[in-house]
Amino acid sequence: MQLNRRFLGVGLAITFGVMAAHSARAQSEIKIGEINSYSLLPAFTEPYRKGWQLALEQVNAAGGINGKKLVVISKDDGGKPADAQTAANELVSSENVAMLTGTFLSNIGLAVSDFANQKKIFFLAAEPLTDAITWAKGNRYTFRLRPSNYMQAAMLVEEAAKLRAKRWATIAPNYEYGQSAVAVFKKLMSEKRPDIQWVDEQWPPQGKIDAGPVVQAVAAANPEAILNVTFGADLVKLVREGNTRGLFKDRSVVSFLTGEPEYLDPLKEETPEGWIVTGYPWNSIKLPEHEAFLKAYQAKYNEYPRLGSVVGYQTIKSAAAILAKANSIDPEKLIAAAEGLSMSSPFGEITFRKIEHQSTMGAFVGKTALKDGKGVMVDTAYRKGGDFLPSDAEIAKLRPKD
Amino acid sequence: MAFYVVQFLTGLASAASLFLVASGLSIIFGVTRIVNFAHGAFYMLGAYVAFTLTERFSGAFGFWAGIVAAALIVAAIGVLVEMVLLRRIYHAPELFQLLATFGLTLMVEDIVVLIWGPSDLLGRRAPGFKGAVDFFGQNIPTYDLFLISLGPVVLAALWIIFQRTRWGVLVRAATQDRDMVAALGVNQKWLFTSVFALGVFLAALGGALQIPRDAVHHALDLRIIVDVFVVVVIGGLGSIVGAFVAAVLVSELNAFGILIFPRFSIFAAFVIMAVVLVVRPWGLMGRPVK
Repeated sequence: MQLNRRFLGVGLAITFGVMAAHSARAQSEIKIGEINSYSLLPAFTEPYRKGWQLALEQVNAAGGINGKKLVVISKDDGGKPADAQTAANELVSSENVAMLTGTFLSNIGLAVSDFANQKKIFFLAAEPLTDAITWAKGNRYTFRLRPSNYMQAAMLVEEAAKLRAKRWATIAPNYEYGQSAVAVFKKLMSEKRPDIQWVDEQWPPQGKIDAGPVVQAVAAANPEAILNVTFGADLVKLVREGNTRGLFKDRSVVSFLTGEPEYLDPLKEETPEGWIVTGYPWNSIKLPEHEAFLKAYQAKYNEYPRLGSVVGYQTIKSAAAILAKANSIDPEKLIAAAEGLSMSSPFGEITFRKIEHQSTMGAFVGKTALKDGKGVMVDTAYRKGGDFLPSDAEIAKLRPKD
Repeated sequence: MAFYVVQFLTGLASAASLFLVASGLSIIFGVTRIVNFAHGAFYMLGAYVAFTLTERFSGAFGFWAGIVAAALIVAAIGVLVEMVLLRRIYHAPELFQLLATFGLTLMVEDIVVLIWGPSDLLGRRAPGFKGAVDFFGQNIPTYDLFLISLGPVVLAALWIIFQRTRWGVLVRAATQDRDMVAALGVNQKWLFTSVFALGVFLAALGGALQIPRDAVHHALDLRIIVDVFVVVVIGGLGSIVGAFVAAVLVSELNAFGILIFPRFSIFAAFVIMAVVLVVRPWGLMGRPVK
């Protein structure tokens, strides 16, 4: 009996000791949950991870969040919305994170945004581009960093409307992102140029394009210009087949995201020239904030940044700025702090708009070219995100009534 | 008119690639009754190894030798996998076999990213088949014509192997009645290993031949395995001619389907599979599996 009681006492003491130490440690750090499709899309998510790890280092080196250490707990969703919601649930319930960040695919961004709305937790979406995240399915807990489909389409339409082409065809991956990108591009183009005819549209499944038949089908419609929304391996296949079959000869092509190094670099000598694209010409940006970011990134990793690096970096920097201003982990205080908050970024100053929680981060528009067997962006210009959004009245109509 | 001919040929080129991989899966299942989910992983490994070899060795000989060598190397890896892993689970329930081969697929996915990095890799075009042939104003890539001619050649070669060699007789016998073949004194272990090697060789060859058409990336295995399974099921498990017919059917219906209904691709193969299975539950040329 004596022995048991002694063991019980020691056991309780150890337990309470550990609990006290844990909560003492917990009070001196702030946790952010991060979810992304690490296993599905390493070409984007590996530079993305490097970007946010650099940001985390910088934030903690500068004193953390009002003296507390910032910790990022990262989970992989494998490209599946259900797994993303499971990861989000674990982060919120077991790890007690102050906010959720991340996601890449538009359908996953929507799933986590919906989760955040139900659980009333702050969510900073990093990369998903569908307009629905801030408009049709927007909610007050969700903020988004990257310029949306509408913004990028508007930037491209500004250039595309100058083309003489009247017959257009579209090629886009058959899921949320592709569908919304084509819809908004068509709408904006037809407003500026009512004489345009949409002669064909192709919808290859995301990641599984059968490029030969798609290229043939588009060529058969005889368009004068093509809108491309495919990316990654689909884009590579499309470019190769298109080059072989002469699809792009004497045709203008407008393409979302193709100027980003993660999508442009694999093309090498196949890089088509003269495509009007949005992207990230990392070695020709003359902004002091970007030069500082570039130096730090290259010093730490010995390689050049991709667009994913900038997104990861700015996501954690933004989260840190929001937490620092709110000085609390209460979601309501975070929302109040984030609305209208401005901060610096590798692309200059960005602001999180109050009306729909979209950041004014912009994109670079330019043309593709082939130099020394590698694809590059030329004639680039930065377009500020805030200049390419519709009026507040229109946006208020698009958002669901809170 | 010329357009429809070219669209048909484009579909045939896709069918040829699909058939190569599907025939391997069909052969493996026919003899070993293992549903080899790792087939896609071997396809992807074939593509990656072929990429490395064709980049190292220049010239026409370097390219074609690299492709064949890649297929042989991956076949050797397949033999290793068969001896180390699959031999132990032949008598296990099918679910365990599926899980084991699926586990292998997941491992291979991460290994290729570790070795070759996360970016998409674009190999070079096939020497001698870089351009396109003009056919009444339409362009047919010469590499497509090469693939189209390769399909029936492989089919014929397989037919000769299975009908005219002693090994082929044993394989066909094992497909029909495994236990009787063992009872008659044939060394089952080596029969299974050699069949697995052939199946993996075909899958890796299919992967390697994609180099001029496609970027090599780590999601290749899951992308191909679904289509290959559908083709094998439609054709009938264990039937090579069935795999050929099914591959042509699925690819052609996709090639022409998107002309009428562009969103067809995302469910084309599954609709065809559903229709075929309703009419012929064992596939077009399959027999009830014992």
